[in-house]
Amino acid sequence: MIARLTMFSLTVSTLALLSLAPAGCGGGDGGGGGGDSFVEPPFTNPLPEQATFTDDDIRHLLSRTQFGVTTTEFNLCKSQGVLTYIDNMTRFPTSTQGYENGAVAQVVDWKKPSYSEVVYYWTHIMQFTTEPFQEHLAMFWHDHFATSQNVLDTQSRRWMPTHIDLLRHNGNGNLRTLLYKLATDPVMLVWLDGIYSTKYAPNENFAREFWEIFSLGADNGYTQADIEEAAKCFTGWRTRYDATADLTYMEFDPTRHDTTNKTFFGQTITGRSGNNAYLEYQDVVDVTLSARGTQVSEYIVKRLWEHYVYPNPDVSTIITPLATLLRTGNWELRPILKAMFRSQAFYSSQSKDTGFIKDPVEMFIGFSRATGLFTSRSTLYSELSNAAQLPAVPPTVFGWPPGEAWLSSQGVVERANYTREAIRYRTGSPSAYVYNVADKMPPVGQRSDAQVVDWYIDLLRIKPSATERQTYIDYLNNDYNGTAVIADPWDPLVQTQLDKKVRGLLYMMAQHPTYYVR
Amino acid sequence: MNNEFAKFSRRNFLRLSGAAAGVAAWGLISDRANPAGRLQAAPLNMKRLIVINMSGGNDTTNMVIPRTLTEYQSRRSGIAIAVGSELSLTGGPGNANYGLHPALVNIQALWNAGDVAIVNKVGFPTPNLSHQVAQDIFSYGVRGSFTPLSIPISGWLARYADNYAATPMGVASVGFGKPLDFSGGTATSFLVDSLSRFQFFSDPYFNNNHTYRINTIKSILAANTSTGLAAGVRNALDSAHSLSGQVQSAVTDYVNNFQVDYRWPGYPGTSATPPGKAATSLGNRLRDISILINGGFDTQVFYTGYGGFDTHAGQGAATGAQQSLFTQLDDAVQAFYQDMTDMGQWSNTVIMVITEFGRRNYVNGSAGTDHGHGYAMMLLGGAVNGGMYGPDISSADMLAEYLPMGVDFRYVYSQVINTHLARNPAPVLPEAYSAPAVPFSVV
Repeated sequence: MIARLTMFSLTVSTLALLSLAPAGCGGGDGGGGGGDSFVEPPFTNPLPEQATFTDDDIRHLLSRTQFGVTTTEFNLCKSQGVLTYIDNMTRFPTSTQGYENGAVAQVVDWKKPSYSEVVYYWTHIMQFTTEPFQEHLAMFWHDHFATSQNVLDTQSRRWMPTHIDLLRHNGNGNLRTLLYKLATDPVMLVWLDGIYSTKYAPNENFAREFWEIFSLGADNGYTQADIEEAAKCFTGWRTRYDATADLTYMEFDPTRHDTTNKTFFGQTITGRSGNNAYLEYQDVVDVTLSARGTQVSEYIVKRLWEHYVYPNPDVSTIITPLATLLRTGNWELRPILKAMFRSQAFYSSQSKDTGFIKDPVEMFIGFSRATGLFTSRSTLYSELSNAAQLPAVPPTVFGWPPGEAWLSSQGVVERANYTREAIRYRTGSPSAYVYNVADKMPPVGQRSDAQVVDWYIDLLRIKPSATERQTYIDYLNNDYNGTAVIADPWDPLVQTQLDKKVRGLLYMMAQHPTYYVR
Repeated sequence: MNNEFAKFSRRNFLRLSGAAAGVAAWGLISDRANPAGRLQAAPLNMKRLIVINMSGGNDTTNMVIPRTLTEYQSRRSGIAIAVGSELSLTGGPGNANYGLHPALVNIQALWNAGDVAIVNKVGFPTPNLSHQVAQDIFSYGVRGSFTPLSIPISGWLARYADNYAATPMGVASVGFGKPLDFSGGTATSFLVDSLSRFQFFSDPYFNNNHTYRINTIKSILAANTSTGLAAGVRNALDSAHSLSGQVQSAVTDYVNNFQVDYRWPGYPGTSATPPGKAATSLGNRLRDISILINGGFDTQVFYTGYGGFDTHAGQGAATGAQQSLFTQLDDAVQAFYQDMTDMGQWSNTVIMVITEFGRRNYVNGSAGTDHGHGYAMMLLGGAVNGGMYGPDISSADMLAEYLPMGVDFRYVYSQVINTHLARNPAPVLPEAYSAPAVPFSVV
């Protein structure tokens, strides 16, 4: 007997639009972080806390945790106060949000979204969201739990937006819940061969990556024998094509499930049978978190720290206290995020001076959000593809190559070419990407050559030398006629100067070496 | 066929009419003055290594098939290459114990010409089933720890560049991002994904001002004193601004003088495509390498590759997922071989086909194979000593879980560096390793 499970829930917002939901379509996955019934305990930071915050601290916080530093978020942070802002920033909305509505319209048929529509859905949210940290954190998890829509087809691609929403809605929540959801996520089951794993031949792929990448790290407390045992727990999933709906469904087939007892990490999981036997995935997660809790907590905390603060954190003063908080706090992630972003270490010179190379998503979305200069969704798609970081399509289960690997000769060219698309003068009906650059500039009355340059230095958070700053000012006061540089004094009241030079200035600033670092 | 011959003839005419005349005709002499990259508008006569990484862990037991072992058939039901349908290796250096996957027809011809070496059971001591760990070890060229070696953590190609190829394009990764092999070290490597896009596109409304912007950016980069990560950004940007023009000239040279649509289907801007052939990622990358070689750059080591080899499920046999990957290799190598022959560079070439591990000896329950240990490395090129090397695969091997390591990968790497590239391998591969039981020379 085969039970069809509802493994492809959509977001609340998409469901609201989707009265045509296929039979079996389950409840929404819109529950926010923090867990459904979890009551948040009082927060005590195990790390020394930053007492006061400068404007530079605020820009640092926003630059690290969001796509670009927008004037809106900067002002919001200043008016709320940094601690309150962090509290709000790490608490994601639990109800349907207005910003998702435009994203829902990116997909024509939610039962059969196209390959590019899946990307449009998320990049639209990233571009226009009012919760930028939510998307930044979701990209972190997407890199950590990397799955690609390349393994899906027209009949199953609807699972990818659901997977993206899983990461978006649970990234600040409970780690156990997150691991639960991912272990039975349809995209994951296809991506790591869970749908081929049966009691006759358990497939080791997911079991291995579950520990090696998702929870413990390579060679950190498990053996090949452990993998073979855990693989049996995950057996039984399969896909089934429904000709009437012309859709593929994910099913758990108890006849394919290994019902024997499994032993790993010195603990024995009693074999389950019947329609609920698939629940052994929870047993694997539970045993991992209990028998290898220290390793899991340290591994996850280190991943987060090395994504948001600086590499190679000290074990005794950073990793151990945060890992302890994660374990004693019932695996809730939000306290870890708050502890990191409120810590002295986050605002230390070690953090600010080391930095991270922005990945293309951070660079492209960040440039557009900060400057207000967007491209069309298809241009953004192709530029992200050229820069080798298409969301929903990570290259391997390891996610995207880290940090400095982005600094290829090609990579820096692709970044300049995206900026060129974003700043390009276009004609046509006004839209998000056919705009008057005068509307994106500093307020009227603050538009002298030096004021414009300084405004954008702050906005893009670049660190030019005094000479380089003067070079930018000189640029605004000159032009090139094909053979020589000629004087062309800056005048912010002349529209053609704005169209030409403000765009040009941004193109040049986005190629300042410090702009590539967040 | 006739058409193709005519096109090759035109190409040969240009080449045979003399290097000096050819360079003048292509009008790129000015580029010679720039010591940063391109040295001349024709191939340099120099030794080269091209590394092709079959990423994901290639099941080489289905690439180089131990055809005489009944255990091969019995343990691989459903994915084994049927007896008699493998391609014979009895030609050329002659070996009756193995056969090639049926997709590798052009490579069989190269074998017959003595241009293919196959090394069985390549690996590293104390194997590991993790992709990541295995890739790290191959990329670093170090199995143990860097500490006793007293050198910073770095990839073997970064060390090669620092010691022997510290020019802007001395070592290059094409279409493969920045593999760990290039990490660390001080020399700047050339890392490019697609040559046709390696350019700073202009601003159509403000062309002159765009030139002004680019020149201003270059002047800022030239004097910029950023430190830390931003220094790396500056170097990469600086290199990209100085090399992109030269690379585009090389692309133009190549397109004007080679019939890319015949050899490399799907090249942007071309129309004619051989029947049944489409552009492939490996083909595009080897074509870009060919363009750079033809363009007169001084690159000694090119690194490229393609993915899809992690065949846990639905691997296929004579046809299927792995076959289409092998066909991609076979087509791309053949086109590259033709290009190198026309350029007079085939005898200067060694192509080294690697992966991070072989796979299990037996089929899993998903008609695929799980991670294994030893793998069969293939080397191709006019500079290669054709033949089978390394310990043979035995019945006992096939009955075990994995193929054991019989040849430390560094034994082969160091031969290529020492004999082919004529450099001392010691600074590149500083950790001690064992020689195989029966020594051999692939180059």
